[in-house]
Amino acid sequence: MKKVPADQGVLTLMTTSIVGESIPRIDGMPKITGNARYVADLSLPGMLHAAVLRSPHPHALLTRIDATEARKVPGAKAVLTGPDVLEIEGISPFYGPAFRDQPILAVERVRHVGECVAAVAADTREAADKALSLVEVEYEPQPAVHDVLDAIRPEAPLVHEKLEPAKTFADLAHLKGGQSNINYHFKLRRGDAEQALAEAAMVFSDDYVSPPASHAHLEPHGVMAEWDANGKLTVWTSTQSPSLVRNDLSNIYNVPLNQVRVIVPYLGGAYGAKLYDKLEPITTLLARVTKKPVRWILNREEVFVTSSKHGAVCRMQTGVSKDGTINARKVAVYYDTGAFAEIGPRIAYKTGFTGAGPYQIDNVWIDSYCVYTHKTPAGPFRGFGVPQVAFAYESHMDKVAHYLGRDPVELRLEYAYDEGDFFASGTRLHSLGHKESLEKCAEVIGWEPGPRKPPSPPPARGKRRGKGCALALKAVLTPSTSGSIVEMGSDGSVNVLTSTVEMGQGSDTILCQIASEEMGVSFDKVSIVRPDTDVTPYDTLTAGSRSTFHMGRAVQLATDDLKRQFIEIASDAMEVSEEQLEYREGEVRVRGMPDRRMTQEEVFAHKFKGAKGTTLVGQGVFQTSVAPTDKETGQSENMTAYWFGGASAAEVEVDCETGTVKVLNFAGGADVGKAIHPAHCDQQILGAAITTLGLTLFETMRFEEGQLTNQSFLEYILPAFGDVPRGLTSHILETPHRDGPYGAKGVGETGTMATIPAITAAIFDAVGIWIHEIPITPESVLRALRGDNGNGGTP
Amino acid sequence: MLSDLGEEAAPIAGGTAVLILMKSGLYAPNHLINLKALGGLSEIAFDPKEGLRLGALATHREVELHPAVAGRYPVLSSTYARVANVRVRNSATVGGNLAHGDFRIDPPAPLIALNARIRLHGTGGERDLPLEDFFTGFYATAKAEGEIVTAVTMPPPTDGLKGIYLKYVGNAAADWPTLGTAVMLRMDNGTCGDLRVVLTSVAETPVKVSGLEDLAVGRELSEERIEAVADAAAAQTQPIEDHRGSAWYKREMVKVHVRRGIEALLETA
Amino acid sequence: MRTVELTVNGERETLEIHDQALLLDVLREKLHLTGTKEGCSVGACGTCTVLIDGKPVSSCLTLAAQLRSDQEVTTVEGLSQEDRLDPVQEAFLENAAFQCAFCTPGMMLAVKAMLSENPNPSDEEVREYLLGNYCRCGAHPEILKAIRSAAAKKT
Repeated sequence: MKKVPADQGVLTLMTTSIVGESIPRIDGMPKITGNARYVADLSLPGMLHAAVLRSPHPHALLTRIDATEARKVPGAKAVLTGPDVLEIEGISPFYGPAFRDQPILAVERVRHVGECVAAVAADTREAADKALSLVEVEYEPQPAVHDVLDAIRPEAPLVHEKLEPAKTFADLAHLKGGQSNINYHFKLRRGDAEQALAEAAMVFSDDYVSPPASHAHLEPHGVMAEWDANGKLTVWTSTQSPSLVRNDLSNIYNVPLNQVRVIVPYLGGAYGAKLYDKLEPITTLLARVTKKPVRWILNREEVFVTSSKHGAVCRMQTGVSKDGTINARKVAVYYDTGAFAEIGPRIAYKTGFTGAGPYQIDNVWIDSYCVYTHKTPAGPFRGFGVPQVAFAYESHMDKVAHYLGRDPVELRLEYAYDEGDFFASGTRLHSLGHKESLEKCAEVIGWEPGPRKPPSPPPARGKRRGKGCALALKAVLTPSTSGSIVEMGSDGSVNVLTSTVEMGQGSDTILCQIASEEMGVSFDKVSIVRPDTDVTPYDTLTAGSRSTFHMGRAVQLATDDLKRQFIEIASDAMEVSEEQLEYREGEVRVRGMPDRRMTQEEVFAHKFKGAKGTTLVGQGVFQTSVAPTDKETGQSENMTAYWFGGASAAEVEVDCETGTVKVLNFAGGADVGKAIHPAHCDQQILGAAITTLGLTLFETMRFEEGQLTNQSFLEYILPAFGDVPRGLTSHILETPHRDGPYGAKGVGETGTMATIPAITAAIFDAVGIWIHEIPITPESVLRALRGDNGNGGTP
Repeated sequence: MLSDLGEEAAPIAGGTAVLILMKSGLYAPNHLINLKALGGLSEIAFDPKEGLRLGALATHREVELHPAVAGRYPVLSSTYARVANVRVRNSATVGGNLAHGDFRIDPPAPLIALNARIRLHGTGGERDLPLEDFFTGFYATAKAEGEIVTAVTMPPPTDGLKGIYLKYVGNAAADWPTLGTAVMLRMDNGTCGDLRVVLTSVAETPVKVSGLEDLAVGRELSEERIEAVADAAAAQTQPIEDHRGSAWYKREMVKVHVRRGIEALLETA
Repeated sequence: MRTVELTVNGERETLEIHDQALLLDVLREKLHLTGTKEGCSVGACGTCTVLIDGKPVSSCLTLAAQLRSDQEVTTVEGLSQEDRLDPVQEAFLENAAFQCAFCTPGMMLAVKAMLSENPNPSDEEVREYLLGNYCRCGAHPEILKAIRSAAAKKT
């Protein structure tokens, strides 16, 4: 890109494309000076501080709750309990994106340790804590279910006795619940998997287990809320989904959308944990009751019980026929969604259908379940359930390759889908890139072709190295909608208004790049208007690697609208028909007559009779859609707007005497369609991989009888600099997507998808043991090396 | 003052441990007594006759970077350098760390192996005891109410005595140790002249492995001999079973790290 | 309550604080220096890192009342001097060494302290020094690049 001096004014022309340039981030200066404000950095005059009392039980009846003494605490302006909420008129006391299963404050029973039971707003945090300590609660503990496989047994205690579907998703409307803890079941049937497995010469059958884990965004959730004298609610919140929060608050308070304003300041990491309603219902209710601004910032312990990654058990069966063909896959995946469904049913559906992997296999049978337990509610976690199933289907590719004496990379390349193939769901595939990513990663890691030949028996001494590769394919959450407004001022400066949340991924920069490119103005004249639902249009959410594609297209549609207006004005001014005009490089030109043109400045001057400070506004709404899915077979002509594929390759070192695993080298590859900002793409690929490395090797939320025992960063350890592989490379593949802006797709999650199985495959290559559960503890590796069958006996 | 206020007061130095306990609600003293206001307790001094004295208020970072410590007791520098992170080391003090009695801290391993003594001051005056006797149980120490730690002392280093501290942290670099192993070894013409092994983070209190005079001293340290020492260390350890490992696993780790420690020292001998 | 004198970013401040007030809260609430972040409250994550006499500490585990007025506290707001960015800030900006940036103020202060103690640290020394500064977005590769470029500029 040419750097254009600012004094050249509105005539700034761009001759080179800014798309594809790794320009400096637009949010850079605020972020390196400490000037970027997050919710906890905001305050209002007279603001109260909120705090909540949380359940100490995983499942109990609330037999008595009395806040009389708490209300007497000086400075405590409001103390609310579940029964209090029920008595407030005009309030909908339950919420949730799939089912309205989550009470603002617990009513009658509590369903997980940490559930909010009472809330206080007080002048100071000390007064709030004092008041909470005086709320008297009596619980009658009930049998609780903690394990996802226990929860599906008929005799398991029910977490919810009925379900009330939210109106958000049509396919959930018929679900009533009450019979079991399974709140959603997705089925995919293609061919006859049972028959094929019966005929197979070899059937691999394994459970792959992933635990709940903490998103561990460093910024705890926070909300500040205020109602004005007209009854309008303004909420500053750490959310990835301002439009959904606005809609939900409008539902809870039964007020029109325009009476709820949701503003998102800078967001200090989210990874899926800050979607849908989190602290907003309680905070806004306290603000309403007290008629004062209220701010609630979680502490780290509270973050741990607010959301988590779905623990999952993925039961994978793969059949290999006599001729060495993979003839069937049967998959049952159980997502542990904890006490509230949140978006779990969507994960079971949208990820469940990819559970057999991106491979041409004739007979596929998938059951994907979303299951309640009495644990921390689970939500999407960077990858939206794909890492849990990719761990299983990729591990089985390695097992099959080993059985057949084949090169695991080559086997994957043989079976992996190609452009134009039909996915197991009957959906035609376009713009994949998983195979190219795999080939690239294998090359970079120094993959030696041929079957793996791990030492046998496993070595007892020393350190051994091994390499592993894996791929994965994810379908973007569909349908969804993104809206954008692009405003140009008479000086040629541009504002881009979107509800896409800048949470580190670089969306502010990328969206401004697109506006700069389209409007033909230099990047330094483009600015972002960050989410404020009073001015920024609806966007489904910032998650699932969807923003570049969806919001990128919305910005393009908005700039198209703006360009159209320029042409309309120029047509009037130049007395040339609109068809003869085109908008190029920041000006309107008559086609084929390069000398006849109007600059932006001239267009504004004509339209507004020379008035300065005037603006023109374009808007765009981009929507994606799906074709109906058959309920029994899971078949659909169109299940997703786009696919994004990627691969990971790892070289590990296993200490055969301690069982520790160190990732020495790592390569991550992702097909991004088109890299609008290549450095951001690289950062997404490796950032996702580093997080997943922690999830693979040590991160887990440890529950004992429903109690979380590592609810602090002193006990829940994150990947640190010492864990980052010494050799770390990212590789961008570009298979343009016909609908993406400049062909771009998403990349935020790709690095998570194939990383677990790449590491476990490398461990197999190094020492010849198969891993079926993460995190991979040193003891589990050592026991496997010593031939312990894992049943807990001492070898 | 401390003894007058009893349990209502907590002495605080670097604050990294006390403040965490207070924040968690486990501990709510009415008064914090700022030990930093006491003068003269932060000195690190070495005397060829008396040995090393670490003032209780010296920070971990000061011990880590002190030239006398690095020159005479390199194992101590390298151990203090591995405690938690640099921020903790800038705040946490030698005395506060030991007084906390946490079984997962690193310094007691090399300190005990260096025959360190801990000095306590209370209303009854001053007393001093071997550091291994200071740790009496899970988060329990011999420190009486009203007493504070004033210093840790140890004799001058013996010629030829080499030491190593192995911090074994499993798969996460920032984790607490599963096991800390300090080994001190002096070889005399191919036979073992002195061998000390101390284990931390594995049991409720540091484990000073006994019987090494009979098992190793005066003998060649053959592979079998080293195995025997490692087995003895494992047998003397009553591991805490937790998510870092079962008792079986932790004893295996004791064997591995005692062997690795001795082998590493033999290589440099 | 007590009156303390603190020196923060070169300014002498006289403040009324609770005896048990944490430096973190004093900086954020009394001095409105909100660049210092609270991430974990137990000194593990590094987002609240500030420098005291050039040394990084966790401000969430530091009692303000224990500080002497001759001790110099530096926060992210004190890194740049009269609109001139600190070389560490420049390096972070040029290398896009952040994503959500919640860790960035603490990270930059830790890096600044490290480079003043050790102008040309090895990769191993960097990883050890920054062990307690988490970045959950995974911007480690860019942070390591930024450190190398800042070190190269200094030496």
